[in-house]
Amino acid sequence: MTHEKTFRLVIDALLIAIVLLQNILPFLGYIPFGPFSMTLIGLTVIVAGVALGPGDGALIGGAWGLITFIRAFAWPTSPVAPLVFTNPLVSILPRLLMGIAAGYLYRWARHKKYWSMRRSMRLAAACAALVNSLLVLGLVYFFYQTPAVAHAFGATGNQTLGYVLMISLLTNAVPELILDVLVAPVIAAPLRQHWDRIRPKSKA
Amino acid sequence: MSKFLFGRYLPLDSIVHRLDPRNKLMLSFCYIILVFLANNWLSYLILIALTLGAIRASTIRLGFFLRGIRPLIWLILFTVALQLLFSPAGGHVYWHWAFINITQFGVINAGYIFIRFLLIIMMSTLLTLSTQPLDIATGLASLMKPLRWVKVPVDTLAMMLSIALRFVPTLMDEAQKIMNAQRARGVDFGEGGLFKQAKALLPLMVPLFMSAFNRAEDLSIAMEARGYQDSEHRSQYRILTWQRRDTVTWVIFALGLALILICRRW
Repeated sequence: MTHEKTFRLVIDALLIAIVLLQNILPFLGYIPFGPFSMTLIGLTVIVAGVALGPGDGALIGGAWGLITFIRAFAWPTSPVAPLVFTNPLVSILPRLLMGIAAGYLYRWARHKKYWSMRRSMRLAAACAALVNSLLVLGLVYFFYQTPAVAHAFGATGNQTLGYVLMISLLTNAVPELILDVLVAPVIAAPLRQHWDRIRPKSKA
Repeated sequence: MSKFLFGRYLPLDSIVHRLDPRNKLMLSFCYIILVFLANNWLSYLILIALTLGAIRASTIRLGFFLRGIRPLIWLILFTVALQLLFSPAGGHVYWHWAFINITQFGVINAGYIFIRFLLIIMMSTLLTLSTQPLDIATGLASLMKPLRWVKVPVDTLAMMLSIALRFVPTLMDEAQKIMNAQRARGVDFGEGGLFKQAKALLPLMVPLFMSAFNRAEDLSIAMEARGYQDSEHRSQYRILTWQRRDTVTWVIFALGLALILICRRW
């Protein structure tokens, strides 16, 4: 019992280390195409959520969001990051909920529908990626409607600021849509091995 | 990789290096608020003076910072261009085409954003250049202490943070090692289209995650063997102390804040 607790603490820490690593080494975290790039960090969050449980997914997702938030100020990931991710609601919330969604959906698919492990993972991964991108887009749209203090970085609000955010919207939607397609099959293989290792210890 | 400055530490011995990490974290946070408060040229001049003063005190060469900004310059210019071309109508219109307006308002705004960026990047780079990662972790953990009142497991999070920071370089070495091993087997990294690139990462990601799992297993057993029970009931080896120089930095900061608030009035 206590061993599981320590193991969880350490594996969460190491997954956070992997997320940090993916931020430091660009080839591990991002695949560039043209002016945009697709991130592989979501993959790590989905791995955490599906392999360990919704709580761990939330933790790793939250860590990613926090890093995105800080990076938007200090070391932006993309040209739109300083416009969009300087708002913690846009940067942190979608990633947090993405991890939770991955964890619960996998559990739900496994227990309620008696789906195979691989199929449940595909579903959880696809939905988690969707949750992330839809929430980012939705929140960007929401804050575009109500130009709040949070967008002080973008401009002192007005209607035509919408153009700026429309571009942010497009550059966010395109990479994350590709991410959705890509994540589900890629994620299943590493997860399967992980899951087999953890199962004797926890019932999650 | 070596081009990026943010997150690296430069072992020097200056006043800035010797400041309490908690203090440096809080100062950087308040500095960002200060940058957002500034709204005219005079207040930006004060901020630039503050920033240059801090860099001077750290004895790190200014050229070092400028070199660190270089990989980010296109990002910043792109953001500024977005602001310049699609900013709201206001002031004198210099040039107009379809939905693109270059207005006085846009030009001023773009200029401000450029300066804001530069200042924040410089200051946060200064923070990481002058503070060891483990000091940042200890500082963050001690700053999070009040969150204990709302039932946040602060000590556990602090433990995780220090383990994570400790294992970033180890995992980095391992990732390189796996990459080279897979290259020797004929995997091409970073070549071909989007899908091919993503597929090439699979033989890197799977072993990386697996080895992280094995490592977690070993580490947790070793921790328990050394008497680790939980994170709450522990004493500390690294103890931070607040010194007079930390108080002095806040006096300087308050002075800057007051000056900027006066400038805003005008």
